[in-house]
Amino acid sequence: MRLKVVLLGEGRVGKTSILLRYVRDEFAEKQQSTLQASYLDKRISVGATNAQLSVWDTAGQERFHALGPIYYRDADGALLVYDITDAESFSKVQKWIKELRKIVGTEITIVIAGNKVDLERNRQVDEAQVFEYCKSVGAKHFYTSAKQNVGLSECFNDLAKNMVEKKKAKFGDGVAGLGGKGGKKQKLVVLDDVEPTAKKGGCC
Amino acid sequence: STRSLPPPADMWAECVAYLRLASEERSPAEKLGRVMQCSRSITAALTAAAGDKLPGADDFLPALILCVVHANPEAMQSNLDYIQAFAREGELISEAGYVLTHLCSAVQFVLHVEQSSLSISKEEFEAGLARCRREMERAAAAPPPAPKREKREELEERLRRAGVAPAGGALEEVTARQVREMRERGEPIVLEGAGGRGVDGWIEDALGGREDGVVVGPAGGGGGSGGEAKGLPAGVEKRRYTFLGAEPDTIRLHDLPNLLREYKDLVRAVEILRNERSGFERERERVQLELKRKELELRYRESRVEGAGAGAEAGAGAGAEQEGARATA
Repeated sequence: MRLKVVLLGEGRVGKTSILLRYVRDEFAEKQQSTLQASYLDKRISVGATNAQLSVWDTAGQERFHALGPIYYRDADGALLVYDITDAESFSKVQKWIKELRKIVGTEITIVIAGNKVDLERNRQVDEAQVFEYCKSVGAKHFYTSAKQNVGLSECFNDLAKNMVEKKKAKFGDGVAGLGGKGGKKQKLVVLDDVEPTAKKGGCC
Repeated sequence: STRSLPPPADMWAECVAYLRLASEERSPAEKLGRVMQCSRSITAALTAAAGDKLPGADDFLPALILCVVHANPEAMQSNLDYIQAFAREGELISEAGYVLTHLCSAVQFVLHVEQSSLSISKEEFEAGLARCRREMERAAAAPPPAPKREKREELEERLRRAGVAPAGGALEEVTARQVREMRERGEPIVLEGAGGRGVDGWIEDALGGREDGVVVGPAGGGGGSGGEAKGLPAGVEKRRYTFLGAEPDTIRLHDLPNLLREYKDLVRAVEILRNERSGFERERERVQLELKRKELELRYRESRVEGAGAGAEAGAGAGAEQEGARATA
Protein backbone atom coordinates (compact mmCIF):
# COMPACT_ATOMS: atom_id res chain seq x y z
CA MET A 1 0.00 0.00 0.00
CA ARG A 2 1.38 3.36 -1.01
CA LEU A 3 0.62 6.33 1.17
CA LYS A 4 1.37 9.92 0.38
CA VAL A 5 1.95 12.39 3.19
CA VAL A 6 2.48 16.09 2.72
CA LEU A 7 4.42 18.16 5.20
CA LEU A 8 2.79 21.53 5.65
CA GLY A 9 3.77 24.44 7.81
CA GLU A 10 5.30 27.87 7.73
CA GLY A 11 8.89 28.34 6.69
CA ARG A 12 11.42 27.79 9.50
CA VAL A 13 9.13 25.70 11.74
CA GLY A 14 11.41 22.77 11.01
CA LYS A 15 9.51 20.71 8.42
CA THR A 16 12.68 19.97 6.56
CA SER A 17 14.57 19.14 9.75
CA ILE A 18 11.88 16.66 10.71
CA LEU A 19 12.20 15.00 7.35
CA LEU A 20 15.99 15.14 7.44
CA ARG A 21 16.09 13.54 10.84
CA TYR A 22 14.01 10.76 9.36
CA VAL A 23 16.27 10.63 6.28
CA ARG A 24 19.48 10.74 8.27
CA ASP A 25 18.41 7.85 10.41
CA GLU A 26 17.80 5.95 7.20
CA PHE A 27 20.77 7.07 5.17
CA ALA A 28 23.37 7.93 7.79
CA GLU A 29 26.10 6.22 5.76
CA LYS A 30 25.34 7.28 2.24
CA GLN A 31 24.63 10.94 2.28
CA GLN A 32 25.10 12.46 -1.14
CA SER A 33 25.11 15.99 -2.35
CA THR A 34 22.31 15.18 -4.79
CA LEU A 35 20.14 13.54 -2.17
CA GLN A 36 16.66 14.93 -2.46
CA ALA A 37 16.22 16.10 1.11
CA SER A 38 12.64 17.16 0.63
CA TYR A 39 11.30 13.77 -0.39
CA LEU A 40 11.40 10.50 1.48
CA ASP A 41 10.21 6.97 0.84
CA LYS A 42 9.97 4.81 3.92
CA ARG A 43 8.68 1.29 4.38
CA ILE A 44 6.60 0.97 7.47
CA SER A 45 4.42 -1.84 8.82
CA VAL A 46 1.10 -1.19 10.43
CA GLY A 47 -0.03 -4.41 12.04
CA ALA A 48 -0.01 -6.94 9.23
CA THR A 49 -0.02 -4.31 6.50
CA ASN A 50 3.16 -3.20 4.80
CA ALA A 51 2.93 0.36 3.65
CA GLN A 52 5.25 2.62 1.74
CA LEU A 53 5.22 6.13 3.05
CA SER A 54 6.07 8.88 0.58
CA VAL A 55 6.67 12.03 2.54
CA TRP A 56 6.56 15.26 0.53
CA ASP A 57 8.10 18.39 1.94
CA THR A 58 6.47 21.59 0.69
CA ALA A 59 7.63 25.17 0.59
CA GLY A 60 6.06 27.00 3.51
CA GLN A 61 6.60 30.61 2.50
CA GLU A 62 3.44 32.70 2.31
CA ARG A 63 4.12 33.58 -1.33
CA PHE A 64 3.72 29.91 -2.29
CA HIS A 65 0.52 29.43 -0.35
CA ALA A 66 -1.70 29.35 -3.43
CA LEU A 67 0.29 26.43 -4.84
CA GLY A 68 -0.68 24.16 -1.94
CA PRO A 69 -3.48 22.23 -3.68
CA ILE A 70 -1.05 21.05 -6.36
CA TYR A 71 0.76 19.13 -3.63
CA TYR A 72 -1.97 17.80 -1.38
CA ARG A 73 -4.63 17.00 -3.97
CA ASP A 74 -4.11 13.24 -3.84
CA ALA A 75 -2.47 12.96 -0.43
CA ASP A 76 -3.61 10.37 2.10
CA GLY A 77 -2.28 12.29 5.02
CA ALA A 78 -0.93 15.65 6.07
CA LEU A 79 1.53 16.41 8.83
CA LEU A 80 1.09 20.03 9.87
CA VAL A 81 4.03 21.43 11.71
CA TYR A 82 4.17 24.50 13.90
CA ASP A 83 6.87 25.89 16.13
CA ILE A 84 5.86 26.05 19.81
CA THR A 85 7.91 29.22 20.17
CA ASP A 86 6.05 30.97 17.34
CA ALA A 87 2.34 31.74 17.79
CA GLU A 88 1.99 32.90 14.20
CA SER A 89 3.03 29.47 12.94
CA PHE A 90 0.09 27.89 14.78
CA SER A 91 -2.48 30.23 13.22
CA LYS A 92 -0.96 29.25 9.90
CA VAL A 93 -1.69 25.60 10.74
CA GLN A 94 -5.34 26.52 11.30
CA LYS A 95 -5.41 28.18 7.90
CA TRP A 96 -3.97 25.06 6.23
CA ILE A 97 -6.49 22.79 7.90
CA LYS A 98 -9.44 24.89 6.77
CA GLU A 99 -8.10 24.74 3.23
CA LEU A 100 -7.39 21.00 3.40
CA ARG A 101 -10.92 20.25 4.53
CA LYS A 102 -12.30 22.42 1.77
CA ILE A 103 -10.27 20.81 -0.98
CA VAL A 104 -9.66 17.20 0.05
CA GLY A 105 -12.46 16.84 2.59
CA THR A 106 -12.31 14.34 5.41
CA GLU A 107 -10.60 11.67 3.33
CA ILE A 108 -7.25 12.96 4.45
CA THR A 109 -5.72 12.07 7.79
CA ILE A 110 -4.35 15.06 9.62
CA VAL A 111 -1.74 15.06 12.35
CA ILE A 112 -0.42 18.21 13.97
CA ALA A 113 3.10 18.39 15.32
CA GLY A 114 4.32 21.00 17.78
CA ASN A 115 7.99 21.11 16.93
CA LYS A 116 11.01 22.42 18.85
CA VAL A 117 9.96 21.07 22.27
CA ASP A 118 13.61 21.33 23.22
CA LEU A 119 12.89 25.07 23.46
CA GLU A 120 10.02 24.60 25.91
CA ARG A 121 11.19 27.57 27.97
CA ASN A 122 10.45 29.89 25.03
CA ARG A 123 6.96 28.55 24.45
CA GLN A 124 4.57 31.06 22.89
CA VAL A 125 1.68 28.78 21.93
CA ASP A 126 -0.89 27.96 24.60
CA GLU A 127 -1.14 24.21 25.10
CA ALA A 128 -4.80 24.08 26.25
CA GLN A 129 -5.85 26.09 23.21
CA VAL A 130 -3.93 23.76 20.90
CA PHE A 131 -5.50 20.64 22.35
CA GLU A 132 -8.96 22.16 22.17
CA TYR A 133 -8.44 23.04 18.53
CA CYS A 134 -7.05 19.63 17.58
CA LYS A 135 -10.03 17.94 19.14
CA SER A 136 -12.41 20.18 17.24
CA VAL A 137 -10.90 19.29 13.86
CA GLY A 138 -10.31 15.62 14.60
CA ALA A 139 -6.55 15.76 14.36
CA LYS A 140 -4.04 14.05 16.61
CA HIS A 141 -1.34 16.14 18.19
CA PHE A 142 2.27 15.25 18.90
CA TYR A 143 5.17 17.12 20.38
CA THR A 144 8.37 16.70 18.43
CA SER A 145 11.95 17.80 18.38
CA ALA A 146 13.85 17.17 15.20
CA LYS A 147 16.98 18.31 16.95
CA GLN A 148 16.74 15.78 19.77
CA ASN A 149 14.85 13.16 17.75
CA VAL A 150 11.81 13.26 19.98
CA GLY A 151 8.35 12.08 18.97
CA LEU A 152 9.05 11.65 15.28
CA SER A 153 8.51 7.93 14.84
CA GLU A 154 5.41 8.06 17.09
CA CYS A 155 4.07 10.84 14.94
CA PHE A 156 4.66 9.09 11.61
CA ASN A 157 3.52 5.71 12.94
CA ASP A 158 0.23 7.11 14.15
CA LEU A 159 -0.29 8.91 10.86
CA ALA A 160 0.41 5.70 8.96
CA LYS A 161 -1.94 3.68 11.14
CA ASN A 162 -4.82 6.08 10.52
CA MET A 163 -4.18 6.29 6.79
CA VAL A 164 -4.08 2.51 6.47
CA GLU A 165 -7.36 2.20 8.37
CA LYS A 166 -9.00 4.80 6.17
CA LYS A 167 -7.78 3.17 3.01
CA LYS A 168 -8.90 -0.24 4.16
CA ALA A 169 -12.28 1.12 5.16
CA LYS A 170 -12.66 2.69 1.77
CA PHE A 171 -11.26 0.05 -0.55
CA GLY A 172 -11.06 -3.08 1.59
CA ASP A 173 -14.72 -3.38 2.60
CA GLY A 174 -16.08 -1.71 -0.48
CA VAL A 175 -18.60 1.13 -0.47
CA ALA A 176 -20.40 -0.12 2.65
CA GLY A 177 -17.23 0.25 4.63
CA LEU A 178 -16.96 3.99 4.11
CA GLY A 179 -18.43 4.84 7.48
CA GLY A 180 -16.60 1.99 9.21
CA LYS A 181 -13.44 2.08 11.25
CA GLY A 182 -12.33 5.53 10.28
CA GLY A 183 -15.82 6.90 10.85
CA LYS A 184 -15.13 8.28 14.31
CA LYS A 185 -13.30 11.29 13.02
CA GLN A 186 -15.55 11.79 10.07
CA LYS A 187 -18.48 12.44 12.39
CA LEU A 188 -16.62 15.17 14.20
CA VAL A 189 -15.88 17.36 11.24
CA VAL A 190 -18.58 18.63 8.92
CA LEU A 191 -17.07 21.71 7.37
CA ASP A 192 -17.90 20.66 3.88
CA ASP A 193 -21.30 19.34 2.90
CA VAL A 194 -20.15 18.03 -0.45
CA GLU A 195 -18.83 14.51 -0.28
CA PRO A 196 -15.52 14.59 -2.15
CA THR A 197 -15.72 12.42 -5.20
CA ALA A 198 -12.88 10.18 -6.16
CA LYS A 199 -10.77 12.00 -8.67
CA LYS A 200 -9.71 10.26 -11.82
CA GLY A 201 -6.53 10.57 -13.73
CA GLY A 202 -5.18 13.87 -12.49
CA CYS A 203 -1.72 13.91 -11.14
CA CYS A 204 0.79 16.48 -9.99
CA SER B 1 33.74 12.46 0.07
CA THR B 2 36.65 13.59 -2.06
CA ARG B 3 34.52 14.50 -5.06
CA SER B 4 35.27 18.08 -5.95
CA LEU B 5 32.29 20.18 -6.86
CA PRO B 6 32.30 22.51 -9.86
CA PRO B 7 31.99 26.21 -9.11
CA PRO B 8 28.39 27.31 -8.45
CA ALA B 9 28.06 29.28 -11.70
CA ASP B 10 28.74 26.14 -13.74
CA MET B 11 26.37 24.14 -11.58
CA TRP B 12 23.64 26.64 -12.21
CA ALA B 13 24.23 26.52 -15.96
CA GLU B 14 23.92 22.76 -15.71
CA CYS B 15 20.51 22.99 -13.99
CA VAL B 16 19.24 25.35 -16.69
CA ALA B 17 20.64 23.21 -19.49
CA TYR B 18 18.96 20.05 -18.18
CA LEU B 19 15.61 21.78 -17.97
CA ARG B 20 15.94 22.97 -21.57
CA LEU B 21 16.86 19.48 -22.69
CA ALA B 22 13.63 18.18 -21.17
CA SER B 23 11.74 19.99 -23.93
CA GLU B 24 13.92 18.50 -26.62
CA GLU B 25 13.56 14.88 -25.61
CA ARG B 26 10.82 12.83 -27.21
CA SER B 27 9.37 10.26 -24.85
CA PRO B 28 7.79 11.12 -21.49
CA ALA B 29 10.36 8.91 -19.78
CA GLU B 30 13.27 10.78 -21.39
CA LYS B 31 11.74 14.14 -20.55
CA LEU B 32 11.22 13.03 -16.96
CA GLY B 33 14.82 11.86 -16.87
CA ARG B 34 16.02 15.34 -17.80
CA VAL B 35 13.73 16.91 -15.22
CA MET B 36 15.24 14.60 -12.62
CA GLN B 37 18.76 15.54 -13.71
CA CYS B 38 17.77 19.17 -13.36
CA SER B 39 16.40 18.52 -9.88
CA ARG B 40 19.55 16.69 -8.78
CA SER B 41 21.73 19.49 -10.11
CA ILE B 42 19.69 22.06 -8.22
CA THR B 43 19.99 20.03 -5.03
CA ALA B 44 23.74 19.68 -5.58
CA ALA B 45 24.12 23.41 -6.26
CA LEU B 46 22.10 24.35 -3.17
CA THR B 47 24.04 21.90 -1.02
CA ALA B 48 27.32 23.32 -2.29
CA ALA B 49 26.12 26.83 -1.55
CA ALA B 50 24.81 26.04 1.93
CA GLY B 51 27.71 23.91 3.07
CA ASP B 52 26.61 21.00 5.22
CA LYS B 53 22.88 21.69 5.32
CA LEU B 54 20.71 19.76 2.89
CA PRO B 55 18.15 21.89 1.10
CA GLY B 56 14.47 21.34 1.83
CA ALA B 57 11.45 22.36 -0.22
CA ASP B 58 11.68 25.90 1.18
CA ASP B 59 14.97 26.29 -0.72
CA PHE B 60 14.29 23.93 -3.59
CA LEU B 61 11.10 25.47 -4.97
CA PRO B 62 12.43 29.05 -5.25
CA ALA B 63 15.56 27.70 -6.97
CA LEU B 64 13.44 25.67 -9.37
CA ILE B 65 11.30 28.72 -10.17
CA LEU B 66 14.43 30.71 -10.94
CA CYS B 67 15.63 27.84 -13.10
CA VAL B 68 12.34 27.80 -15.05
CA VAL B 69 12.63 31.54 -15.64
CA HIS B 70 16.26 31.34 -16.76
CA ALA B 71 15.77 28.29 -18.94
CA ASN B 72 12.45 29.48 -20.37
CA PRO B 73 12.13 26.11 -22.10
CA GLU B 74 10.17 25.81 -25.27
CA ALA B 75 6.51 24.79 -24.85
CA MET B 76 6.93 24.22 -21.13
CA GLN B 77 3.24 23.83 -20.32
CA SER B 78 2.62 21.51 -23.27
CA ASN B 79 5.54 19.40 -22.19
CA LEU B 80 4.19 19.07 -18.66
CA ASP B 81 0.74 18.15 -20.00
CA TYR B 82 2.35 15.67 -22.35
CA ILE B 83 4.36 13.99 -19.61
CA GLN B 84 1.33 13.75 -17.35
CA ALA B 85 -0.88 12.38 -20.08
CA PHE B 86 1.50 9.83 -21.50
CA ALA B 87 3.92 8.76 -18.80
CA ARG B 88 3.32 5.25 -17.58
CA GLU B 89 1.61 5.04 -14.24
CA GLY B 90 4.68 3.82 -12.44
CA GLU B 91 6.79 6.69 -13.73
CA LEU B 92 4.92 9.41 -11.90
CA ILE B 93 5.19 8.10 -8.37
CA SER B 94 8.04 8.43 -5.91
CA GLU B 95 10.68 11.04 -6.42
CA ALA B 96 9.90 11.65 -10.09
CA GLY B 97 6.29 12.44 -9.22
CA TYR B 98 7.45 14.73 -6.47
CA VAL B 99 9.85 16.63 -8.68
CA LEU B 100 7.32 16.92 -11.50
CA THR B 101 4.79 18.32 -9.04
CA HIS B 102 7.33 20.93 -7.98
CA LEU B 103 7.88 21.78 -11.64
CA CYS B 104 4.12 22.18 -12.26
CA SER B 105 3.99 24.31 -9.18
CA ALA B 106 6.94 26.44 -10.33
CA VAL B 107 5.27 27.03 -13.70
CA GLN B 108 2.01 27.97 -11.97
CA PHE B 109 3.91 30.44 -9.84
CA VAL B 110 5.52 32.07 -12.85
CA LEU B 111 2.19 32.20 -14.69
CA HIS B 112 0.34 33.93 -11.89
CA VAL B 113 3.13 35.92 -10.29
CA GLU B 114 2.22 39.27 -8.79
CA GLN B 115 4.30 41.93 -7.23
CA SER B 116 3.05 41.00 -3.76
CA SER B 117 4.59 37.54 -4.02
CA LEU B 118 8.02 38.88 -4.89
CA SER B 119 10.54 40.65 -2.72
CA ILE B 120 10.99 43.61 -5.06
CA SER B 121 9.24 46.96 -4.80
CA LYS B 122 6.08 47.82 -6.70
CA GLU B 123 8.00 50.40 -8.75
CA GLU B 124 10.67 47.92 -9.66
CA PHE B 125 8.06 45.34 -10.64
CA GLU B 126 6.09 47.81 -12.78
CA ALA B 127 9.23 49.13 -14.45
CA GLY B 128 10.36 45.60 -15.28
CA LEU B 129 6.96 44.69 -16.69
CA ALA B 130 6.86 47.86 -18.81
CA ARG B 131 10.33 47.12 -20.18
CA CYS B 132 9.35 43.61 -21.15
CA ARG B 133 6.15 44.80 -22.80
CA ARG B 134 8.10 47.34 -24.86
CA GLU B 135 10.53 44.65 -25.95
CA MET B 136 7.73 42.30 -26.90
CA GLU B 137 5.95 45.03 -28.86
CA ARG B 138 9.13 45.90 -30.69
CA ALA B 139 9.68 42.25 -31.50
CA ALA B 140 6.10 41.90 -32.71
CA ALA B 141 6.32 45.05 -34.88
CA ALA B 142 9.54 44.01 -36.60
CA PRO B 143 8.99 41.50 -39.39
CA PRO B 144 10.09 38.07 -38.32
CA PRO B 145 13.55 37.27 -39.60
CA ALA B 146 12.86 35.40 -42.80
CA PRO B 147 14.53 32.03 -42.93
CA LYS B 148 17.51 32.41 -45.18
CA ARG B 149 16.60 30.86 -48.47
CA GLU B 150 18.61 31.56 -51.55
CA LYS B 151 16.85 31.98 -54.80
CA ARG B 152 17.47 29.21 -57.26
CA GLU B 153 19.35 31.52 -59.63
CA GLU B 154 21.66 32.72 -56.86
CA LEU B 155 22.32 29.18 -55.84
CA GLU B 156 23.10 28.12 -59.38
CA GLU B 157 25.52 31.02 -59.65
CA ARG B 158 27.18 30.09 -56.39
CA LEU B 159 27.48 26.44 -57.34
CA ARG B 160 28.89 27.38 -60.72
CA ARG B 161 31.49 29.62 -59.12
CA ALA B 162 32.41 26.80 -56.79
CA GLY B 163 32.82 24.61 -59.85
CA VAL B 164 30.23 22.15 -58.64
CA ALA B 165 27.40 22.74 -61.05
CA PRO B 166 27.69 21.47 -64.60
CA ALA B 167 29.36 24.26 -66.53
CA GLY B 168 27.28 26.06 -69.09
CA GLY B 169 23.59 25.31 -68.73
CA ALA B 170 21.42 26.01 -65.75
CA LEU B 171 20.76 23.29 -63.21
CA GLU B 172 18.19 20.94 -64.47
CA GLU B 173 15.30 20.12 -62.24
CA VAL B 174 15.34 16.42 -61.82
CA THR B 175 13.31 14.78 -59.15
CA ALA B 176 14.25 11.52 -57.54
CA ARG B 177 11.29 9.88 -59.16
CA GLN B 178 12.40 11.01 -62.61
CA VAL B 179 15.83 9.60 -61.90
CA ARG B 180 14.36 6.29 -60.88
CA GLU B 181 12.07 6.13 -63.89
CA MET B 182 14.95 6.92 -66.20
CA ARG B 183 16.93 4.12 -64.63
CA GLU B 184 14.07 1.73 -65.00
CA ARG B 185 13.92 2.58 -68.68
CA GLY B 186 17.65 1.97 -68.82
CA GLU B 187 18.53 5.51 -69.87
CA PRO B 188 21.98 6.78 -68.96
CA ILE B 189 22.03 9.32 -66.17
CA VAL B 190 24.99 11.60 -65.74
CA LEU B 191 25.48 12.56 -62.16
CA GLU B 192 28.80 14.34 -62.50
CA GLY B 193 28.97 17.29 -60.20
CA ALA B 194 26.14 16.01 -58.11
CA GLY B 195 28.35 13.68 -56.14
CA GLY B 196 26.04 10.81 -56.80
CA ARG B 197 23.20 12.32 -54.83
CA GLY B 198 21.12 13.77 -57.57
CA VAL B 199 20.92 17.41 -58.53
CA ASP B 200 17.84 17.81 -56.41
CA GLY B 201 19.72 16.64 -53.39
CA TRP B 202 22.16 19.48 -53.83
CA ILE B 203 19.45 22.03 -54.26
CA GLU B 204 17.57 20.79 -51.22
CA ASP B 205 20.73 20.85 -49.13
CA ALA B 206 21.82 24.26 -50.18
CA LEU B 207 18.39 25.83 -49.91
CA GLY B 208 18.02 24.45 -46.44
CA GLY B 209 14.95 22.63 -47.64
CA ARG B 210 14.33 20.94 -44.32
CA GLU B 211 11.85 22.74 -42.13
CA ASP B 212 9.34 22.03 -39.40
CA GLY B 213 11.81 20.23 -37.18
CA VAL B 214 12.33 17.22 -39.36
CA VAL B 215 14.92 15.03 -37.79
CA VAL B 216 17.83 14.04 -39.94
CA GLY B 217 20.84 11.92 -39.30
CA PRO B 218 21.40 8.32 -38.40
CA ALA B 219 21.90 8.89 -34.70
CA GLY B 220 18.79 11.02 -34.37
CA GLY B 221 19.83 12.82 -31.22
CA GLY B 222 21.99 15.92 -30.99
CA GLY B 223 24.01 16.71 -34.07
CA GLY B 224 21.31 15.93 -36.56
CA SER B 225 22.54 16.24 -40.08
CA GLY B 226 25.17 13.54 -40.32
CA GLY B 227 26.96 13.59 -43.64
CA GLU B 228 25.59 10.30 -44.92
CA ALA B 229 21.95 11.13 -44.53
CA LYS B 230 22.18 14.55 -46.13
CA GLY B 231 20.44 15.19 -49.36
CA LEU B 232 18.00 12.34 -49.46
CA PRO B 233 16.00 12.48 -52.64
CA ALA B 234 13.08 14.87 -52.78
CA GLY B 235 10.60 12.01 -52.74
CA VAL B 236 11.19 11.59 -49.01
CA GLU B 237 10.98 15.17 -47.86
CA LYS B 238 9.45 14.62 -44.47
CA ARG B 239 11.49 12.40 -42.30
CA ARG B 240 10.52 11.93 -38.71
CA TYR B 241 12.22 9.32 -36.61
CA THR B 242 9.89 9.42 -33.67
CA PHE B 243 10.80 6.08 -32.22
CA LEU B 244 14.57 6.25 -32.05
CA GLY B 245 14.49 6.60 -28.28
CA ALA B 246 11.64 4.18 -27.79
CA GLU B 247 11.86 0.99 -25.79
CA PRO B 248 9.55 -1.95 -26.50
CA ASP B 249 7.38 -1.21 -23.51
CA THR B 250 7.03 2.49 -24.25
CA ILE B 251 5.38 1.85 -27.59
CA ARG B 252 1.63 1.76 -27.53
CA LEU B 253 -0.91 0.33 -29.89
CA HIS B 254 -1.87 3.73 -31.27
CA ASP B 255 1.77 4.31 -32.20
CA LEU B 256 1.58 1.54 -34.78
CA PRO B 257 0.21 3.53 -37.75
CA ASN B 258 2.97 6.11 -37.30
CA LEU B 259 5.59 3.46 -36.79
CA LEU B 260 4.49 1.66 -39.92
CA ARG B 261 4.43 4.86 -41.94
CA GLU B 262 7.90 5.84 -40.77
CA TYR B 263 9.13 2.35 -41.50
CA LYS B 264 7.78 2.48 -45.03
CA ASP B 265 9.26 5.91 -45.62
CA LEU B 266 12.57 4.65 -44.33
CA VAL B 267 12.50 1.62 -46.61
CA ARG B 268 11.61 3.80 -49.54
CA ALA B 269 14.46 6.18 -48.77
CA VAL B 270 16.93 3.33 -48.36
CA GLU B 271 15.87 1.75 -51.65
CA ILE B 272 16.10 5.04 -53.50
CA LEU B 273 19.54 5.67 -52.08
CA ARG B 274 20.75 2.20 -52.93
CA ASN B 275 19.38 2.52 -56.40
CA GLU B 276 21.04 5.85 -56.86
CA ARG B 277 24.35 4.62 -55.56
CA SER B 278 24.45 1.57 -57.77
CA GLY B 279 23.47 3.80 -60.68
CA PHE B 280 26.31 6.11 -59.82
CA GLU B 281 28.75 3.22 -59.58
CA ARG B 282 27.66 1.84 -62.92
CA GLU B 283 28.09 5.27 -64.41
CA ARG B 284 31.57 5.63 -62.94
CA GLU B 285 32.52 2.22 -64.24
CA ARG B 286 31.27 3.17 -67.68
CA VAL B 287 33.30 6.38 -67.64
CA GLN B 288 36.41 4.52 -66.51
CA LEU B 289 36.04 1.92 -69.24
CA GLU B 290 35.50 4.68 -71.77
CA LEU B 291 38.72 6.37 -70.63
CA LYS B 292 40.62 3.13 -70.76
CA ARG B 293 39.30 2.41 -74.23
CA LYS B 294 40.37 5.85 -75.45
CA GLU B 295 43.80 5.39 -73.90
CA LEU B 296 44.22 2.04 -75.58
CA GLU B 297 43.06 3.37 -78.91
CA LEU B 298 45.51 6.21 -78.60
CA ARG B 299 48.38 3.88 -77.78
CA TYR B 300 47.35 1.62 -80.63
CA ARG B 301 47.32 4.48 -83.08
CA GLU B 302 50.70 5.73 -81.82
CA SER B 303 52.23 2.33 -82.24
CA ARG B 304 50.85 2.14 -85.77
CA VAL B 305 52.44 5.48 -86.63
CA GLU B 306 55.80 4.65 -85.00
CA GLY B 307 56.71 1.72 -87.09
CA ALA B 308 54.69 -0.57 -89.27
CA GLY B 309 57.00 -3.55 -88.89
CA ALA B 310 58.21 -3.37 -85.27
CA GLY B 311 54.89 -2.22 -83.76
CA ALA B 312 52.73 -4.83 -85.43
CA GLU B 313 52.92 -7.36 -82.59
CA ALA B 314 52.24 -4.84 -79.84
CA GLY B 315 49.44 -3.36 -81.90
CA ALA B 316 47.74 -6.72 -82.22
CA GLY B 317 48.00 -7.16 -78.43
CA ALA B 318 46.49 -3.74 -77.74
CA GLY B 319 43.75 -4.43 -80.22
CA ALA B 320 42.74 -7.61 -78.44
CA GLU B 321 42.68 -5.74 -75.16
CA GLN B 322 40.51 -3.09 -76.68
CA GLU B 323 38.03 -5.70 -77.87
CA GLY B 324 37.88 -7.06 -74.35
CA ALA B 325 37.16 -3.66 -72.88
CA ARG B 326 34.35 -3.11 -75.34
CA ALA B 327 32.75 -6.40 -74.47
CA THR B 328 32.74 -5.52 -70.77
CA ALA B 329 31.27 -2.11 -71.43
